[in-house]
Amino acid sequence: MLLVAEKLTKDYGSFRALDSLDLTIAPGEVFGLLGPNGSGKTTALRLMLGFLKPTAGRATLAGFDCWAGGVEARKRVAYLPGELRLYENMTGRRLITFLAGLRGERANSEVDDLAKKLDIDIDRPLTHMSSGMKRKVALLTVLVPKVPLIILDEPTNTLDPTMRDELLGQLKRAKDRGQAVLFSSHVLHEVEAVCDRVGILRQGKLVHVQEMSALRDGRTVSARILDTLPFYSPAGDRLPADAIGPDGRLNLTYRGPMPALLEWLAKQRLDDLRIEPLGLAPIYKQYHGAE
Amino acid sequence: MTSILVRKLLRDVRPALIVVCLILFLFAGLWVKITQRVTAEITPFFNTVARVAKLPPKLFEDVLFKGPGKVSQAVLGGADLRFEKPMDFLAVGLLHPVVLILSGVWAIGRAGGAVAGELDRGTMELLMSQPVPRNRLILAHLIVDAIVIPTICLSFFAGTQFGLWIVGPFEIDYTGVREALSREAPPAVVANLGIPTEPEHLEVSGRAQFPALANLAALIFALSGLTLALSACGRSRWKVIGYGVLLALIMFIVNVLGQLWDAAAFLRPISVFFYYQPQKIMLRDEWDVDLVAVWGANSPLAAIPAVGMLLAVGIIGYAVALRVFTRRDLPAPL
Repeated sequence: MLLVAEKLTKDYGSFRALDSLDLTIAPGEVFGLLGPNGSGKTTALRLMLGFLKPTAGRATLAGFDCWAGGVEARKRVAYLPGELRLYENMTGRRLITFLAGLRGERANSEVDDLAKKLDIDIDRPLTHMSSGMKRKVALLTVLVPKVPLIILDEPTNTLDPTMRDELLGQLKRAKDRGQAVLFSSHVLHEVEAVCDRVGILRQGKLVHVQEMSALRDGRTVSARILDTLPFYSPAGDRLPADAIGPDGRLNLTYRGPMPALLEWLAKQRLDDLRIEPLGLAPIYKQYHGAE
Repeated sequence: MTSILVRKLLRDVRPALIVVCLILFLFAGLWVKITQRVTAEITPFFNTVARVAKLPPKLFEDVLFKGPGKVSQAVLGGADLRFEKPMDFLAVGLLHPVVLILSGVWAIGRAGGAVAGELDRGTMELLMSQPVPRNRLILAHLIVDAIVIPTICLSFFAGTQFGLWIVGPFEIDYTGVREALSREAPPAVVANLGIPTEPEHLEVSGRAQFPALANLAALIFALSGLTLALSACGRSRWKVIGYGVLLALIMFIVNVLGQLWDAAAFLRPISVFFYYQPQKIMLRDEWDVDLVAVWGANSPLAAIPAVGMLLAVGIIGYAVALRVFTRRDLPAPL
């Protein structure tokens, strides 16, 4: 495993910001941390970067303790902070060169290629750039080093839709290169689009880990029932008792081949039929519905 | 990696450094002119007037430093100051409020921003998300201090040299005084006053200032080290600067009070300003401060090297900063 968190805990006085987080991330995996503000996402990321000393437990990156061996751990990670603050007295290029230098690397021609793709002029002073432009520059600093893990804290903040898609594309390319990605977000469809697994945090606790492949194979079916339904579901097992809601509608989660579902639906007398891919929303609402 | 950090830090301080060096350069040059005016023109005039009126020669200084004037005498170096001696007056330049305030503001302002400023601006996490050991950042600041503080001191030295070059030799010309007196008194009376007929040459050398600047450099380093220790504990630059200024002010007042009031003299060694005695280094080559004078015969040490003590304070400040910064959490930007 590339990243391992074992009972990772952080207290601020009597307040527990992160509670016994157990998490593993494999090389090349994209993992999303979901949760509302104050759920512990940023604290978890800061612990993994060695910014904070754990109250209990530990996190290791490629075998290096993120606190005690923070330098070795950070050699293997690139980080995009949520609250972005850059050295405003530098140009974009100087910032990239400076940060690359701290890694013992040189900024190469890939910087210009990426800058072109992201549509930014990196020779402009950062102080003259908009917040979106600065975010793109920061993104460049993360994408340039070829490290095993990229950590991003709410990376699509202040990005326009085109750039958001470009960013998600870049994350997919990073995954294709074998880089693991850990990112936090509020935006469910972004997480659905790129993640292999998703963890949902609630009040500092990891309450659910979802394999996205299980969701991608699934569909939710919603329809008004015009007649009695058969005893069996499209998958051939017993129709769950809660499949018929209090409003008399059929609400079904189906995981399986599409033709079998369509064949089953064709046999029923239904109206107002909706078939949607199974997303994170119902799972997320299960933990944060009231928030 | 350290050299990259050092270059970046130097680039950050460059505009402020240029301004500080320029002000000190100009001030030092101006101070030479003031020294020449006071020692070669004003003081001889008053001394002549005192001689004509048969008044005590030190009357002028006694009147100047009477009552509240004692405070300025204490600040300017106590009884060491003699207005008729150019080197004495030149040495006062290093105790002038312009030099002390500028040095203090530089040391406290720069060190205050070193850790707390990066946290305050939110750039610390950008820096620390790179594989940079935290002790390297403190080391980089130490190296920057080692480069910048001598530069500041050298700009003052260069200013003095420039001033001496512009002003030229210090000569007391009594022609004006003699002519003024001749208009009021018969020539025979004026001749009996013993006013020199030839210009009197005063010895002045800027080179003697060079070793005294080591004391100024050590003072800046001590203030920088103390403020860096505060900065490593804080997360708001202005709060740290506020505490740094307060600490420096308290130490300054303690030292001045100790000079004015014998009962408080024992407190002086806790102030870094007690160890800032550039006049003694410049005029008498005295590098030690006399502890017996403030702590009496029971003092555990008779004397202590002034520059060494200030450097030790700075190093202790850096050591505290290193210990705190390498163990503390880095909070999210405010």
